[in-house]
Amino acid sequence: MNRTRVIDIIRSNGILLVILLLIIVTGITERNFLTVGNLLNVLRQVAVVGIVACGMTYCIIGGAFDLSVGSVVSLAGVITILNINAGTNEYVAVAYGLLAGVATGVINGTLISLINGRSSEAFIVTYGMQVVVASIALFPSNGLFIAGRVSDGFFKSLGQGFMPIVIFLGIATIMQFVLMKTKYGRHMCFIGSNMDVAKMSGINVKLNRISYFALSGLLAGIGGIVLCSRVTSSNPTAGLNYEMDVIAAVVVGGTPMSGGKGSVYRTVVGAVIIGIMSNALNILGITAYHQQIVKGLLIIAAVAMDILNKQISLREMTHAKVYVG
Amino acid sequence: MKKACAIVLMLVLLVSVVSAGGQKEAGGAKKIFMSSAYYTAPYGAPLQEAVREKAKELGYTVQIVDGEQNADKQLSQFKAAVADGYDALIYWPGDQASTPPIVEYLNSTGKPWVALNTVVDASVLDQVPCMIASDEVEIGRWLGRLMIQYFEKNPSATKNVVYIEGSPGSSYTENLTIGVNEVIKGTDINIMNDRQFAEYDPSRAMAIMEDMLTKYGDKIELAVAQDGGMFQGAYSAIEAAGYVGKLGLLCQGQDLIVRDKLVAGELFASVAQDPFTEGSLAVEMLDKIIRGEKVENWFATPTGPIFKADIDNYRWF
Repeated sequence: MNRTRVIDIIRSNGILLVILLLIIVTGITERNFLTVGNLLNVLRQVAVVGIVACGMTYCIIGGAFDLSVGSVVSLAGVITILNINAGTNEYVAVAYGLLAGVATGVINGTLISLINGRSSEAFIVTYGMQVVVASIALFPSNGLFIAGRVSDGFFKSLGQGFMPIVIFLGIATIMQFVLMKTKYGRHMCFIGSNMDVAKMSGINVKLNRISYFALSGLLAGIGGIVLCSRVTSSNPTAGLNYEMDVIAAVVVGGTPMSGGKGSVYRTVVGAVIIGIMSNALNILGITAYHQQIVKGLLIIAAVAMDILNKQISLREMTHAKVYVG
Repeated sequence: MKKACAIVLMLVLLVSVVSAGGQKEAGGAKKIFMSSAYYTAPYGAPLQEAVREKAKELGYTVQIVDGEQNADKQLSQFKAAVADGYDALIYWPGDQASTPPIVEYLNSTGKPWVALNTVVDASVLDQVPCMIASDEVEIGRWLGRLMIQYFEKNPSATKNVVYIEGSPGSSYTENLTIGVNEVIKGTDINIMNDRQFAEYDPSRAMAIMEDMLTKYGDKIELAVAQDGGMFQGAYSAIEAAGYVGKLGLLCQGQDLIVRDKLVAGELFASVAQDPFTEGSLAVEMLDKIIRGEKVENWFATPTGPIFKADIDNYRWF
């Protein structure tokens, strides 16, 4: 393997290599770290952020953001738990929670499409919706924690055992397939790259964009329900700042914030990287103060690498053109 | 189409503002303004409800706003409230260290006011007309005492404890930990983890507990959480790992979740901190100050252990 190839590998997988090093060091130091049980533990812990991040990936590739996902996580959980406690059938209660997520997403998408908004407008609109939905989540619960009166059944199973992992990886697989193998996925990249040209090409940009937000809302709803099932309770502020963890998972995975490209598979890797890092640092006994520094540096490194890669690619392209010319 | 949308949106906003304005109570009732740093926190809801109830009972109207744990925002809110002609003020600080400028401003207004829940900074403690708050360090001491009691009832050679804290940098979290450390210092109780913060979030507490169970497994003998929500998260991790009944549990709070686990005999004890009493007392003390009566500088709300046998003596939320 020549030097250029090694540099290419480091360039494209730098974050992954750092995490691999952390895994090796932790694995040697702590014998419980590299066990199947612990690795499943990590997947369970990242499942909620991962599910929501899959929806965010579509939004970002399509040239937008959805900052309301954290509030939707809270709202979906509150609605589901309150309905279950009121004696509603568990399937129906879950459907209500999901409906709240989809409704928020459709409102977001419609508003942004109406104003023909780009990512900056999406940022503001979804931020506004985040505040509105967070307040709505406080009303029915009166701001309180709600302990779920949940028996062993459909709802409880959503957060137990392998189920959160199956839901997370199942959703990611379907979404990756749709993104890579369907016209809908190709349109998404096109819209994210250049919305105006996409519109001129006859793509229904508005409807497509509404669908990204609706999906993002639906997945935030699923995330909220899985989260509530895991802790068998709901907290109207449970999703506070979740959007930042979710965006971090997408960015660390390598999907560029500028839109137009990316992959759900990379988001899964991003979520798992953040999960493994937290787990390893906890197990190594590193204090929370230091953990936050490491997490922040990881996100900065991911963005820096993305920018660096872009610049190198641009330089290579320019160089190639000069050579051909 | 866009013009029509813009007009509809403006009309909706106009109607909202007018109807909200219409809710303002008329009449000669004195108006109380409260800035609550923890408006959306689980503890905030019952406390604020108690403030509203007591204010109504004593013939006041009350406006409570969200201070978002931001001292600068709270100061601006108070300045606006004074300009709006509110007669009395209630201040629920977000953090101890940020209280001096607000305390000084409130005193400069000449209006009656009280501080609530969070203990103000020691440098301005004597400038507060009345503070209604639990002694946070004492709550921590109770957690420490209950750890000792637990190991007296369940003797062990190792006394290994996982201790889950609230938010880094929060004076409430720090004061509780100061109290815990003060009591367990010199004992052979071993806090296994070095400062793990779940930020009062059950899911984070669950992740921390899962990681601790992965690392220490059955070496953990007692799990302690600084509030009921984090206790719920830790409990879920313990339940999923099949450790319920194999290790002791201890927390602080009067949440219904806590009561349920006390009733089930799964929680050794909780430490009381009553939002209803605090909220109600704040308005009572403020009323006394308005009427020119003398009040205590620090009205410490009672705190102490709650065991299974005591649950009927407490109000839960």
